[in-house]
Amino acid sequence: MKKIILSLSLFLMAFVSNAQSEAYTNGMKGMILKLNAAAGSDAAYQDAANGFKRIAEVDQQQWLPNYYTAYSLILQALSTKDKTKIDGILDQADRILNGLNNTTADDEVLVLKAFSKSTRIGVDPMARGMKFGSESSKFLQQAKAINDRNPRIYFLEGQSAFYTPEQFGGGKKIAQPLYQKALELYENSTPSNELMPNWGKEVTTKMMAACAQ
Amino acid sequence: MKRVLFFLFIGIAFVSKAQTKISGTVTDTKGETLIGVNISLVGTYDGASSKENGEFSFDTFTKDSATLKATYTGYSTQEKRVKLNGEPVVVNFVLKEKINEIKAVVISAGAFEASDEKKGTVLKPLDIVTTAGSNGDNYGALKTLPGTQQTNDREGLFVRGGTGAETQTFIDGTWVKNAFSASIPDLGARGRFNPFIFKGTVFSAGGYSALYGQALSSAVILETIDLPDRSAANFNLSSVGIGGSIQKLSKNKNESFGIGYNFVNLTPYFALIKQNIKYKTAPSVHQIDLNYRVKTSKTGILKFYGYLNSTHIDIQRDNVDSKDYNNSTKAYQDEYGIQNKNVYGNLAYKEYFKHDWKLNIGVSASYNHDNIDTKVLDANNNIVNDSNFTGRNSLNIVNHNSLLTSKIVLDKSLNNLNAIRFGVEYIYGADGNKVELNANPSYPVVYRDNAINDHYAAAFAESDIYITNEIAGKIGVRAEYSSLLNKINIAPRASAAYKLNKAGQFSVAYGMFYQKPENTYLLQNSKLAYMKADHYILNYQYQPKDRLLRLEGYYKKYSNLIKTVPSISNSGDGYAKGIELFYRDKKTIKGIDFWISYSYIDSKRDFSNYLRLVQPDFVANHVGSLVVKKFWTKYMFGINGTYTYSSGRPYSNPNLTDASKFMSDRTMDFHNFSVSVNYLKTIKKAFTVFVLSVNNPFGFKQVYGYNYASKDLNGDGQLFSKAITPAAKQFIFIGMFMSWGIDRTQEAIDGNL
Repeated sequence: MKKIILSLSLFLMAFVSNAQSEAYTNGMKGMILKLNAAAGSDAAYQDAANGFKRIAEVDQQQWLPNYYTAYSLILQALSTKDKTKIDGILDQADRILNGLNNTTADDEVLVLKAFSKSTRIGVDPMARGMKFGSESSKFLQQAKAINDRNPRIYFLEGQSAFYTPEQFGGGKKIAQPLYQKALELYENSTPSNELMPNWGKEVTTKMMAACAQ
Repeated sequence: MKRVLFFLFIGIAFVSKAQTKISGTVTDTKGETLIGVNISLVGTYDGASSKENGEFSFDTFTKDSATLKATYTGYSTQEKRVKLNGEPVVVNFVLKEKINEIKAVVISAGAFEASDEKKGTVLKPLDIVTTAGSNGDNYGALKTLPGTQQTNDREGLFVRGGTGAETQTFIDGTWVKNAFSASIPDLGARGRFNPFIFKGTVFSAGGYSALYGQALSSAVILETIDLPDRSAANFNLSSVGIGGSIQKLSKNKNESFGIGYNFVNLTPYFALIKQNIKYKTAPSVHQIDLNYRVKTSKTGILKFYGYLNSTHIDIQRDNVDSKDYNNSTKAYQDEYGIQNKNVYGNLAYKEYFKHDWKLNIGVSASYNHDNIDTKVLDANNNIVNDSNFTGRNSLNIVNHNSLLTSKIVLDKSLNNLNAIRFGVEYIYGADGNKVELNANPSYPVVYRDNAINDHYAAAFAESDIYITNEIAGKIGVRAEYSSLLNKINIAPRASAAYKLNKAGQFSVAYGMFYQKPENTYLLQNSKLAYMKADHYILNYQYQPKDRLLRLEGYYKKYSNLIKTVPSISNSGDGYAKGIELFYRDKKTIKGIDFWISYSYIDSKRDFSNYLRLVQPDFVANHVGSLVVKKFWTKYMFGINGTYTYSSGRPYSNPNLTDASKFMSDRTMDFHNFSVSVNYLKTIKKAFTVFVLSVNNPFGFKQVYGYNYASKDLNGDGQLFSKAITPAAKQFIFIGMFMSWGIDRTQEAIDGNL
């Protein structure tokens, strides 16, 4: 009898935890869809960040919910029309990213740290371009040291070059090969599972077109 | 046992059936709706964000009692227990705002700040160098802010009825004694330091913190930059000189070293553009800058800045007293030559410790040496030593001062932005002054040979008090002792701010300020007391996005000022009161950034050699500036313009012998316009800025005052006078600044591999 109870409860535990991980995967998938549908709306990105944060609070051993919370916040900072809000939003994102160490893909975390830094330039490009541009590229170099086949590194390098005036060593000509490299890597790599970071390809394609103009 | 298992299964099955709708609204304590608040059912993924009307709504399969949580950045999290049984649940949250840096009020009375890092600043560091007319001088840019006088004929920043000596400069916390470069009387002086080495500038026109002392009227607080972003090499060539520098950042980016050299010589410029003054030696300056910065830990940094400067200027002007004044070919000449050597070094250390402690240590040392030759020369270039005849003697004056300063500040952050700050300061200064008759080098006649030294110590404490995001205050006190004066003073300071709404706020400040008399006086009489000023300031600031309006009123009471007549004493006093306006706008005219400042002042003083309480000769009642900046990113081209106006300043006319007429004359109104254009271009990997700036292109006549002859030369009872004017009507600057980012090119190469 005892054996039966033991095996039953073991089975139950397995069932519950399986159900849990299934709930996690489904929850995350749902939120990623929601995030992809947010398309440029400040409030929708905030809503997505909130959703990921709720998952992060329940599944504290997972790093991806926090990763996506930070990513949503960065997109919110990029899309907000009120420049005075940008630093506050990115402070939240940075706090989350600084807590993510020894994940299964530290290069992705570094890419977001770089993304957050370069987004801060938008508050005052003239005064901030140099400082945050170089801080951002520092994180990208670190990411490269871990995984130089991460397409998002080259996408962000392309972005930084594209939005830097030619007189400051940027411009379309510099950005184009970086986008090109990102695109090749996007084509030739598949994320290890469906929840892993997989963003940037569409924008890169668009930016390639913009470079060709 | 089987029953237990059965119920467990049933339970699981049952949970997944019934659904409950949870909805409600979220507001803050003032009843304003909050958007984007995260509402979550603790332990589940279920939840929603509050919408634009503050409402939220979601469904959950969770049963029985649960905790509903509302989280929002900047607000205290709130939890509420809810019963879930299928019936719709309505929960309303009222969130309380936390005191936080982004929303908390900033005390703005008295101070203008330029920083990229702090919020609510009026200016950016870049604004200081792009203000037309400033010609790369910090103080030049500060003269476009309210409270300052257009005293371009004198050394120092004259603020709110105070003299130039009452404004002090601090670098990384410690006092800088010789902040202005060597100068010629009546021609003004430039700030010594390159504005590009500072990341933050605070210009306080009064009511400043207990951390700073020995400045009666105003404090200019500068913070040097931390580690540079990258290694770089710079080169500049201009109508006034040539220079270059190298800045090397270590590979691990923890350390940097920089060295620069500049040579300024105006001989070629003066050969091309005629000056009103005869230069025997046009200003010639050698300057070396050094810096070393190292991160001592993750949060700590040690910075060294070193500066060496050698300046030589020698001029000749018509002697106003000589008999041949009307016949300029025979006129006697006053010669004034100065050779200045200045060395300055500053070491600053900053570190954060456990339990929110922060430590700042600053040490600086400086040495300044002036060798001044004043001569009266006849038509044959012979020295004339008859002061009865020429009004002055030919003198050799040697001034030197050594200074060692040190300061320790401890800062402890408490909850809700509250903080306490305290520390000590010690300064040792040694000054010497020797005056000899310049007649015969083999038989020098020593008029005066004095030396003084002073041990000065101060202790200070200050507390930041935040009651809510809307109300904040700062209370401080400073105690000072000077061994030379052998006196202690205690100076309380207090300020507070109240935020009316998102953009508007009031602040007030009060403070007692003491300053030792200038060394010129102490060298002659060391038994003097501190000069004293009380400041009362009321400020209103309205700052919507990309615009700023500041109105400030103040009252200042001066006491124990130095009088030199009949003998040197502390019997002087005075007052200053005024209203100032500052308006900056980046929005109204698209692409154009401008600011307007206007100051009205009513100030009288009885000090120095004044006969009675009068408006001093450095105070104009109305002063205004308009600064406009426009940059075309597409063409990498910018134009900046500055217009300044000042009403006439009083001057002493000895022809009006009646004491009631003392200082009753006024100079003509002062107008100045400056324009500068910059063009940015990359030339073979060198990022290059071309600058052309013209000061006073329309040639407004500018008179700062008059010098009078000391006796009646032609017997008509009237003393001759000569207007004090700039050395030339216009000043033209053409320059090219190139910089190579050593690291950046490397990055580009790496990036392409």
